[in-house]
Amino acid sequence: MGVIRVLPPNLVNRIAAGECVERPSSVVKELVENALDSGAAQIDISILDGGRELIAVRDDGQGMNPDDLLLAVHPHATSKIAADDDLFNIHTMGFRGEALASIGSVSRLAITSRSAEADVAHIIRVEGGVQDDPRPCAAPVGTLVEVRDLFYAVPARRKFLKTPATEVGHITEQLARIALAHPGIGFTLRNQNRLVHDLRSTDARLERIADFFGSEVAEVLLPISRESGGVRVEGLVAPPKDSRGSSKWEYVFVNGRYVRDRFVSHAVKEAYRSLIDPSRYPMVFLYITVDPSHVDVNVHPTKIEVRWRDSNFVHGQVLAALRDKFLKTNLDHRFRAPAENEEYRERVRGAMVDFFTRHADAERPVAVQQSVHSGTRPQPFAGSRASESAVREITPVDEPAAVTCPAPAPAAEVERAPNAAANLAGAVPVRAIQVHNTYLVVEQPDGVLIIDQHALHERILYETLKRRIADRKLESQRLLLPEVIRVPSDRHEVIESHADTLARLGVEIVVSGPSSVALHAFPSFLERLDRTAFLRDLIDRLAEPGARPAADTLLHEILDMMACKAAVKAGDPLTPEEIAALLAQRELADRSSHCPHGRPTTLHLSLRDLEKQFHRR
Amino acid sequence: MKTVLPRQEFQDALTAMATLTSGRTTKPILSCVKLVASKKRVELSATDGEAALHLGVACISTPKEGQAVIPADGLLSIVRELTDAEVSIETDGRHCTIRGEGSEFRIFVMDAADFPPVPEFDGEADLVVDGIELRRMISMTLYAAARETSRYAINGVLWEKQGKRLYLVATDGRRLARAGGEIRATGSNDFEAIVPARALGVFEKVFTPVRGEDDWHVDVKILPNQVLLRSGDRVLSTVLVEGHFPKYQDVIPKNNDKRASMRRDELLAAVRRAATVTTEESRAIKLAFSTKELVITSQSAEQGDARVQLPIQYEGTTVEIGFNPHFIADCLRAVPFDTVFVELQESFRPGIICGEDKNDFLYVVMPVSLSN
Ligand SMILES: Nc1ncnc2c1ncn2[C@@H]1O[C@H](COP(=O)(O)OP(=O)(O)OP(=O)(O)O)[C@@H](O)[C@H]1O
Ligand SMILES: [Mg+2]
Repeated sequence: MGVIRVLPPNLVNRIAAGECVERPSSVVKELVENALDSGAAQIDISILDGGRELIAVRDDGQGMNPDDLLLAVHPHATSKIAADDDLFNIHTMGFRGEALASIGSVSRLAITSRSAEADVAHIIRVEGGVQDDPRPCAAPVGTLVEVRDLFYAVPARRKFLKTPATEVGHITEQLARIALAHPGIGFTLRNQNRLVHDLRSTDARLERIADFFGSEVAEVLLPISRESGGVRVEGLVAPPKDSRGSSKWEYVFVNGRYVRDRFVSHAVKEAYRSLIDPSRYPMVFLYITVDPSHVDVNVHPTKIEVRWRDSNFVHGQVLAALRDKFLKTNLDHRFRAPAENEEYRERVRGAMVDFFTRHADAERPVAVQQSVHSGTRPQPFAGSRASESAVREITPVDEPAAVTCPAPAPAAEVERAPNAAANLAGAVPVRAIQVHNTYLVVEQPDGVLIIDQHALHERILYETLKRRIADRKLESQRLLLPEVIRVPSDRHEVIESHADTLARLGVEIVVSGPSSVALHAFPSFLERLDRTAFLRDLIDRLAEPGARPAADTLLHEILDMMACKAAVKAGDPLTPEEIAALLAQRELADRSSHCPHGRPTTLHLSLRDLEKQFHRR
Repeated sequence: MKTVLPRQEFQDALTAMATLTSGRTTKPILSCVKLVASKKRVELSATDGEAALHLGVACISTPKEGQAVIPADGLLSIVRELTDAEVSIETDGRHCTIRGEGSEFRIFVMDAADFPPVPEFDGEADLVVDGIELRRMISMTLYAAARETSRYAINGVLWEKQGKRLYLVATDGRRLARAGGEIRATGSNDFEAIVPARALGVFEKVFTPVRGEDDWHVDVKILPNQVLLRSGDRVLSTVLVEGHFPKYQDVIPKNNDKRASMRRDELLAAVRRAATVTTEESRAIKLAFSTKELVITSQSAEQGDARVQLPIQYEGTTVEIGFNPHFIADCLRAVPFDTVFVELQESFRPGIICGEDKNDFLYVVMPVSLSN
């Protein structure tokens, strides 16, 4: 009583041909999806040598009879769709009838299966695309698929495989993509016979997320939900302040299938825009449910892309679901302005008031009057909303180029020598104003400079740090209570293998348990950062899939990340002292015209340009 | 409501209230102070949603009893501007009229029914602590607490009662301060509670010794998620921080056998001086201990270098260690001792700063190391 049919040829042709087996993780994906389709409640995955030696997936689903087994490994044989129209009404993960046949053609495949009605299991073996007859054997109800020596027949592919750790990383990610969408099903993953993940069945998505990524991730998530016009958008999303350093934290599931979709991604980006730093990524888990006839999953051989019947509507729904949440949640109060920042604002405000009172009393009100924006009055800074003023006026003539770097909010300050540099003779008066708390406008003999404060500071820090690393003078604050975060064991190797590079940066990370790592030392100059967040971003960076960068490249990338985090941000109000210091360092720093990412830090507007614009010449 | 109050006392009370009402808040009612006037007294309360403060002022007369919720900022700045000995406060449903001699102000009031309930100190105290002692313990630890980190538990100060002693412990993950003192009277079992740093800041500002009372003490009441502190008619309450405070005993070094002693003020001055050349990216000072002498140095490419030396009592082998000068100065500023002890082991292990008795005060600080 076989249920598997050979597809009619016309339908075969409608299914785009293509490769679904690219690397071990794609095999895992196909096998686990088959297990899901079989109605399994528990799925166990086992990996040896990054999947090269063995990938085994066992399920307790409905199983197959001997004749099903024969057809299962036959190309374009599937039990899941029968006719044309079914292609637009897909309720299962698989439908192409292609996976097992493809896998069987590039590996040594064995499938052991027993259906609920049968008293005995059967095993079928396929080697290089050639199958033998099913033979009876003993096994529980369900199916065990074993894939050995993947790509043994395709040396080019085999050579292409990365280190076992990298492949296991991909497999783990694949598991995340499936397991997060199916919290009701239990999963285990064993690597080299060691249990890496044990995900118990649960009815709560949040619990599955906590199980997989740790409670630190799950704790910050906010639920969203919206339903309209046959599209249901549910999700667990992190508030903007919990943004991440990599785009991998955008998990989108459509009808239980992980997808990458540019409409959904765009909607997410749009919802978070201006709430998070452009270099950061939101963390979202979105579960979209639509009638299968509204979405075509047969776009890409791995089914990772979809085509919507009405993509604008879906875009709108996702955007609305997120926006509603952010409007309802008081982001201002809950997610912004940590105390340090407030203290810092206070300090800045104090300094501004100080500055103006000093300058107002001094015999040089002329300097203030003559500065670029002579219309603005200093009053706004005395008020409590000073930091919102868009234009502030300064002529830090009395505060000549102090050589310290601007001090962004040190928590406790040892008294600095009072204006140590204040009496340096001969300092050139710099006329500068900060506009929109983001740009510095500086008067020059031949025109005006417009400086992006973040980009400039980032470059200066980057150069300073590079010099210090070269001189081995980067200071590292050791921690009394190490910062511990959960990191799945498959990432431990990456972390350990980069220990030397990290040490040069003053970072000491030690594997502290089966699924945790601990931060023991931290660069001093990053003192005001949240260490847990930093650590998480750093590990995301290290574990990013793809080629492993050389130690030096990685060093500079991390350096860059540190400089970016430590630099003043767009939107940070600066004191006149801080502006003066930044400008003074600009003179000293190498390559200060561009930030480490190559964006310009400074625009120059010459008097000649201005005169032209105003038709003075 | 209408009541007449001694202006100075009223102003002092409002200033105390401002420690809670002046924070940034999205709920206007939280920037208000609630007044309840009875024949002899006016009770004031304020809350920031987490902590609440309650105190009373004896009034001159109350022609009309009642209550009102008034924006604290406005009220305080008016009362501060008046110069008279007495001030009269009168409210109807919408306005509050403040009168001195020859001046009169009107500000809007809010609906008293919207003011959140403020916990009351009911029944017996769980502990009674000497007020001066408690202030000392708070000031010796509070600076070491973390501020707004994602490890919530260390954003507060741990209160640990052990028999007849109370310990306060604070850490930000890089240094840890612990102060201990005797309890006067106790009815409760041993407990641990994490008190938010912010509320203790309010305590420091508002709970000062009562004039003319040598026997100043503070009553403490611990509830499952709250602590209340009372002195006379002042009551400060706050919710407790949830979570587990790290097992700090494990990080207190036991083998720091290199022990030096020196004058506190001299060490503080030396640290400050050496710190003047440190910058944001380079904030370490190096301490070199040798027989009878401590040399503190610092250098930064941007600022230049510094070398400060001072006499100490030390007999051990030479040892060098780097520290963030802020961490050392914070502690030295907070302790009252004339002589402090520095105990070290190795340059990458935690150092200890303490007084004669570690049970009274102990500070553990992690060094800064240079990468290589
Ligand atoms: N674990 C399993 N339990 C029960 N039946 C299975 C299992 N794995 C495969 N089968 C059967 O074998 C058939 C072929 O599987 P295969 O993965 O090759 O194709 P598919 O899942 O139908 O489509 P796709 O190529 O899109 O994955 C399936 O249709 C199903 O009937
Ligand atoms: Mg399949």
